[in-house]
Amino acid sequence: MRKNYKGWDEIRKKLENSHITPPYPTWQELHQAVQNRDSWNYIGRKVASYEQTPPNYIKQRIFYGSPIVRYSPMPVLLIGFLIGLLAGLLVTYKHDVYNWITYNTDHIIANEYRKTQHVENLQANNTLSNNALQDSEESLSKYAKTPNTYIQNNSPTVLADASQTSLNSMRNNLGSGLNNPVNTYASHPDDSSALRSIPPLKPTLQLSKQQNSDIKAMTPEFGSNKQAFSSSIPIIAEIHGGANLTRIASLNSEGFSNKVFPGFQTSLLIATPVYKGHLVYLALSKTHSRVSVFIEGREYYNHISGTALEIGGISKTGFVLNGRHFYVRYGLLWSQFHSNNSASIIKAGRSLGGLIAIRRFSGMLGRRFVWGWEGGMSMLFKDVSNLQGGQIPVNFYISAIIGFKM
Amino acid sequence: MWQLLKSLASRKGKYKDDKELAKACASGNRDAQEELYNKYASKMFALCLRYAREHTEAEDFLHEGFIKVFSTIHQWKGKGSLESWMRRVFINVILEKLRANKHNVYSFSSYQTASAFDDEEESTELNVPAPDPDIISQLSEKEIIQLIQRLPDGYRTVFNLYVIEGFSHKEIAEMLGISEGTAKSQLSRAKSLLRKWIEEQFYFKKKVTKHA
Repeated sequence: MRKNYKGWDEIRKKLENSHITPPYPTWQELHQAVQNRDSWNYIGRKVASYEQTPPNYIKQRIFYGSPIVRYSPMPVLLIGFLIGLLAGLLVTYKHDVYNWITYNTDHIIANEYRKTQHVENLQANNTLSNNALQDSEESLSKYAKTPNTYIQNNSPTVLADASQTSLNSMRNNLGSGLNNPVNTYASHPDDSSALRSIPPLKPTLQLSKQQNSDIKAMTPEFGSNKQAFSSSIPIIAEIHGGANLTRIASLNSEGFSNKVFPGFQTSLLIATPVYKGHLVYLALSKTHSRVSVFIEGREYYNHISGTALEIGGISKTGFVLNGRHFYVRYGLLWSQFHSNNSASIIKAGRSLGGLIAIRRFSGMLGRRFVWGWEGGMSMLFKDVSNLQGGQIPVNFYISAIIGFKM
Repeated sequence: MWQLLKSLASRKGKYKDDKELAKACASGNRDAQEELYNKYASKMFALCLRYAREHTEAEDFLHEGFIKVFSTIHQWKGKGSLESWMRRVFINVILEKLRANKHNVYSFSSYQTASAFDDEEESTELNVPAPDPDIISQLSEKEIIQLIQRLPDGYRTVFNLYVIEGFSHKEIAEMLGISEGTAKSQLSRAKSLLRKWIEEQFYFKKKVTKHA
């Protein structure tokens, strides 16, 4: 074996000591080599001379800090919380609100109609009573004249006393008759012809057939909206605006700080009852948050905005706490989130998420508007960060609500 | 007209040359720093775009690069042009960033397999035929940059450093902490891919133009 190698070694030594001129490259080879080099250089030159103006916000970031840093979210945060707080503080239990949210507005209208009718009837009766009193006094004065004539002819003192007593008694009865004129007049012991001339009064709360049927049509059985909504399905529209705090749920070694980040959000919601007053809603919401991240001792800011399409339900009755009624909103959301990516921390993307919230209605503004507040949390089911470790954002929020029933 | 006015306005500077500008920047003068930015931002952004995977990453490189330039501009002694010095600073910043994220950015396995090229000569890269200069002239700079951005991170970095910045394989190997052979193989692969994509892009463009 070694002998075979020895021969090759000798050849190698010979070749090392000799100056062998390599074969001159052919013209084609040379041309190809030159062309290759030129082409790549051409690309190099072309690309190297290229210029592209960076976006304006890079300049802002370098010279004035991140635009999000300059724009302080604190005022928005405070305003959002103040709205929520006011709504919370002004919470008073109102049955009407309960009816509104269970969409028995017609029930409220019917009640109000009844109240109005009752007052009108009372007023009408009082007028009648006053008229009756006036009439009776006139009759009594006529009646009183008769004894005078009789006294002149017969025994004036006794008859005058008797007529005066009778007059006083009638006045008393007429006075009490104002409260219940029908009964009082009907049972008056002194059934004089003058009193009989007073026309009978209508019963206080007796409504006409038309009024009764109107109220019946407008008053569904409480809690059952079948009758009220059989003719038209109501649509509820709500506008939400408030403040949020976003917490990035997981940390990693890159230094993602465990913080909550302030922001604000707005939503538009449309709901309609589908089953025994339970609502299904569709909402479009927009959230804005600022996230600051420390990487290698340097702080980076990301403005994260998300547009979410939500679908879910609102409980019909919810729960009662300290006599106050709260409702529950729950749903799924599909979010498209963006980032200004100042440090490529938060990536843009899409994710499914979930939402649960507690809401309360505090008052009505007229018959069609209602106002209240809502607090809740939403969570995306997907990592939103370029960093490793699973950055799942959880968003806590409180919003003021203005609702409108179409 | 507006563009002309804009360009005239942007060129209007208080400082007569780069030395004076650099001196003012070093003293922390914000106006001077802004002028420096206005003067070189578009060139540096183009450089950043070549090394970045995406636009937002290039923005980060630009941000970091200028912060570095402002903090180290006193080190520029006026030898060579300020632009070349800034380019070097930017490249260092970009490489630092890429190294910091190397678990994401670099595929070390590809470097290891590429060690087979260690003993090969420069001819490795010459084996890759270059695209036709006519084809290249038909494509815009932006299109070429977009194709470069499509390259895997390692390939892209080596390609930029060798073809565009003009560094040797030895320098690239030192800068990236890899062997020369690896740098060569990365370049070779980058060129193969790029050639293929450039031709595809050209024929696609031609087809679209024809149909239009």
